[in-house]
Amino acid sequence: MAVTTQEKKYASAHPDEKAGFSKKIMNLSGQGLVYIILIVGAVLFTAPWVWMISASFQPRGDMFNWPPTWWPEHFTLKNYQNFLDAAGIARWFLNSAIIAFSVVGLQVFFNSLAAYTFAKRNFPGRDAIFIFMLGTLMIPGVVFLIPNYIILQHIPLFGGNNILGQGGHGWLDSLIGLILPSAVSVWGIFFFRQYMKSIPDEMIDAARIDGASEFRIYWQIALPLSGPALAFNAISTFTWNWNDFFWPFLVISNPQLRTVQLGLALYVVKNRTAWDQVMAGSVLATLPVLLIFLIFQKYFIRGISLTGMK
Amino acid sequence: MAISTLEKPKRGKEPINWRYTFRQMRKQWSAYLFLSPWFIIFAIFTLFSVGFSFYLSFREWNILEPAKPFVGLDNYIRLFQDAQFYQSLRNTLLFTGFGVPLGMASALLVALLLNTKVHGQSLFRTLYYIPVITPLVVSAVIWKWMYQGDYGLINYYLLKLGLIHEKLLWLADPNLAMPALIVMGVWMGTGGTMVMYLAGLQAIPEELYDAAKVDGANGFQRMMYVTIPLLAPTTFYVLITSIIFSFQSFAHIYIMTNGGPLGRTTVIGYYMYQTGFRHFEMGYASAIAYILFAIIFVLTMLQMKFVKGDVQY
Amino acid sequence: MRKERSLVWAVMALLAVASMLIASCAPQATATQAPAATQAPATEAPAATEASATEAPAATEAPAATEAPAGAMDPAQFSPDIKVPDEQITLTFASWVHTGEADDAWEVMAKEFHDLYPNITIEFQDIPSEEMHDKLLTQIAANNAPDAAYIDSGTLGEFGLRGALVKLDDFISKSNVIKTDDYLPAFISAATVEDIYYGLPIDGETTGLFYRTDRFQEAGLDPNKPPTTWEEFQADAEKLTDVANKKYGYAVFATDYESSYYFLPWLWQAGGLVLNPDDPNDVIVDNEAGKKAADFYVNLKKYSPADLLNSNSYDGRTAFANGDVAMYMAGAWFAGTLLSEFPDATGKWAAAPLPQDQKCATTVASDDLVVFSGSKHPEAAYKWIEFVSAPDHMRELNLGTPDNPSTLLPPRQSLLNDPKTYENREVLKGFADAMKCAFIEPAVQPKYYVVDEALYQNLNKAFYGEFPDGGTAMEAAAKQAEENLKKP
Repeated sequence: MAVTTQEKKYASAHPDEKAGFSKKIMNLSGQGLVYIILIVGAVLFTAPWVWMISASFQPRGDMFNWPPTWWPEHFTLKNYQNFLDAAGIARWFLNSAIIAFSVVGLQVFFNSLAAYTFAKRNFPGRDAIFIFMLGTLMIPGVVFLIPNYIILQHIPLFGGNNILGQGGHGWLDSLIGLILPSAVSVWGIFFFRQYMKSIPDEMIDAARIDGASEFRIYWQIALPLSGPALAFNAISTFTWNWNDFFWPFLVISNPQLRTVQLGLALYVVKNRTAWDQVMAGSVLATLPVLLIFLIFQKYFIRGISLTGMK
Repeated sequence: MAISTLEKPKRGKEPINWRYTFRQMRKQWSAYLFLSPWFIIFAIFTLFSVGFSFYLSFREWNILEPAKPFVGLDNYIRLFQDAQFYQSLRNTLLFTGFGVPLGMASALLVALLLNTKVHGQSLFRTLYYIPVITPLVVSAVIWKWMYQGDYGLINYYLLKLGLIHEKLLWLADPNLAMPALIVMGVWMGTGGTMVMYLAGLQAIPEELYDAAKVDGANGFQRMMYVTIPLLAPTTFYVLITSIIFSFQSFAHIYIMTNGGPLGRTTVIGYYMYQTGFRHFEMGYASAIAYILFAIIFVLTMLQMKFVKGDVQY
Repeated sequence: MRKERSLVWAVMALLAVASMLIASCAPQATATQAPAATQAPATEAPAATEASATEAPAATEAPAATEAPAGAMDPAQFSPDIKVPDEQITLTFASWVHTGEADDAWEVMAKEFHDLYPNITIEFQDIPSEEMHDKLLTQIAANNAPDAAYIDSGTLGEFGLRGALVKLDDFISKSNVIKTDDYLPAFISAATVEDIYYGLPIDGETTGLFYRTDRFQEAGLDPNKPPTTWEEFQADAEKLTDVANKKYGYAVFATDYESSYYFLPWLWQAGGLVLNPDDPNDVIVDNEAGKKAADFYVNLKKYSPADLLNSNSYDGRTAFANGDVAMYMAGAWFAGTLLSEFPDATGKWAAAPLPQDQKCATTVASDDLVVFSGSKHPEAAYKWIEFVSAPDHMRELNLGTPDNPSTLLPPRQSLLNDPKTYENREVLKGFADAMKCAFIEPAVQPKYYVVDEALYQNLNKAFYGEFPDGGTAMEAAAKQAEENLKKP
């Protein structure tokens, strides 16, 4: 054996250096490949959205040129002017924001709280309840539309209802009616649970031994370590809620309570859609969601470590 | 008086030790408290709706009139003889069977790539998320253009590259419409699934990667032996949620092909909606919903048995 | 890091709480839509006399909607025998045509109505057209339906059959402005179910033939002579089709609802019917006339781009707008679409009535005003829809705005003969003639969707080559429809 122990040590400590130039090229082209894939993919993924932005600056007569024009021939701001001039636009955005922020705030708390019990606590019925919860997700939503509408209508002591829930319109036509039923989501609970399972049990047990209450363990250990899950819940709930059309559409009739999606839908009339306003409005409507995404995706950073827990 | 013990009874064929159970319940009372927000919402909304729709599945109801005559098992019997139901179920299984794995793979790929230190990581993540927020009508315009027979972009490139010799009718061909929609579905869903994976990737402790590096594992091996196994909880979530969504989705299908050609892309979600809201047969629609629930439930139980959902270090 | 996180927490919690507080203080549904503007004084002399329905509108017409003076119309002109309640009531009216802008004809009308009946206020519910059906269904199920609504005649048929709408016969008999014989027969017929009136038609359109004058010229055809018979149509389509060069004579759609809808005019023109007038469960689309029409229709596929088979008349519009397709069957709405979305094509196309065979026939697409059974004030609701249906009002509502002229026409004979109806919309004159050919099947079938489904499914199969010709498809369709009608 000609290799000395020193050489061996050198080899294992600095494998890349020893490998030399060819590996560096491999690395570089590997990275280059990654960028190429990402860029091509990004182009494919954003094409319709880019077209939408372009169309929003085109007059209606140019929008549907075939093949689609990607750069406006006759650049115009009229679509945006018309859209913003229409009465109540600001109100739409405000309503959507109120609903979305409330739901996200409530869900982030309630979902994680429930998930903690499934992930890290042991109590009778835990698995059965969890499976039951999952089961409720599997029933197709279309059968819930009419019953939930009727329930909202009969919530006692709201919207002119008496104690038996009769006479008025309950939580129909109200923002509360869109917020509270969505205050907890089994999808969210499920995701938080999966995430929290990765929190080392030792940490939790140590805290228990130290005498901390379950809520404190949740609040000071489990929740802070679940930053990425929180970000996920915030992003996906906000997106879903902001873009939700059909349920708010059924519940709301009062023009003052319209959300952005309801407002935009009014421009979509069968065979007579006001495309110019729809394009401009849709561009504006997607901006808040993008903003939320940009903000929260920063939290996708590693938080759980096996060492240094205290 | 027996000495009450806090030992957990052995698992197995022993009858439930109720005394122990109740004692545990009292001790862990705050667990039930933590679950109470879910339970309240569930009790008010879901419970009634589930009960009502289950009750409806044994009746007929045209929604416009209050009468709901009892028909026993007729709806279910009719379902088993309904050729359209079978066709939509078949279409849905095709859509799910191909769409879910493709969607998961593409989302995982993107998430892995965007979890490394690439320049513009935040920007790329946002760009890949954009299909999720692009309004469906807008996506439909561009995708219809891409799939068009005479002038579509896809045919143009395929012809140019010599991969095909005459134009393909993507959306008008009974055999190509479903694959075309599957691809579009994957495009629409990747961003959302990517976010799930991005979150899940953060739960993998750095130390494990370091340990693997020290053991001499290269990038690919690290991925196979550290990342993928430790993503199991997330993958489990993604699999279940993707299947449930896939079984119910119909909006993009409806807008692109209207369920055609020849009913080859009619999926069960649309069939249910059409039966209830367009044909005024809410009882029958409810029966379809419960059969669908049973199918999804069985599938999920099978998954839970065969796919590891937990993580072990 | 910790600090940053707890800051985010605090902010979110604050936002959630603040949002909930604002939400619970948000205005409830009792806010009325009554215009807050000051009412014009009631003593203003009217600038127009309200003509009764049977007369052509007098020369002293009220000016355009924005200038109509308020007040001083006489309730006696309308229906003095129908009593309005004494207390203050609000009527909810659902539609997709109300915009709430100052120049909106509906807003003006609501204001005038309120002046006429000061204790009735109209509250508009604006529902997107695609979802009107579903929303109404849900509201009816919860006994929460509006008092009145603007719906399409198809929905009227479905709802009327199932008792969701108020019968209007009695009200109409007491009305001075609603005379059923002033309405075009096919349109008023579409608002009835089993000879009972459930709605007042307010606007309508029919299907006509759009054709490219430039393509006609290219092919050596006279652009002022669109085909008027089936033979001419086929001959023209033949000349206009050159598949190798991506030029087509016609567009055929083989999708649900579309293929059957655009088959009906051909069927009726050949003297065929879908249902036996004496027995709605007898499907006669497979008789000689039906088969002849189906053979002709399915054969048109060779003049059409194969791509469009899985499309519909709206999405296929670009093919016509680009000149790829030379002839296109669509409703008057298509003219509006072409003018607003494809202004570059203006001057290169024209509209004409559909070609004829044994007779002329085209489809009826109409919107009707209805009153819901659950309404607490059916008389007041009727008064509103009657008010809106008065001839001058009806014409106003059908004009649209100067920027966005409507392609709808009022289904009243008197108005169709009045040139003022076509202000700004010359191209619709051709459609007015077509409207007189509008046809509606005499038989009433509650499960018509079963028959329609059998029709389009089998026609689609024929288009995709699964049947050798249209006639065979009709046999299969009749069989399938009759079998399915027998099931519960």
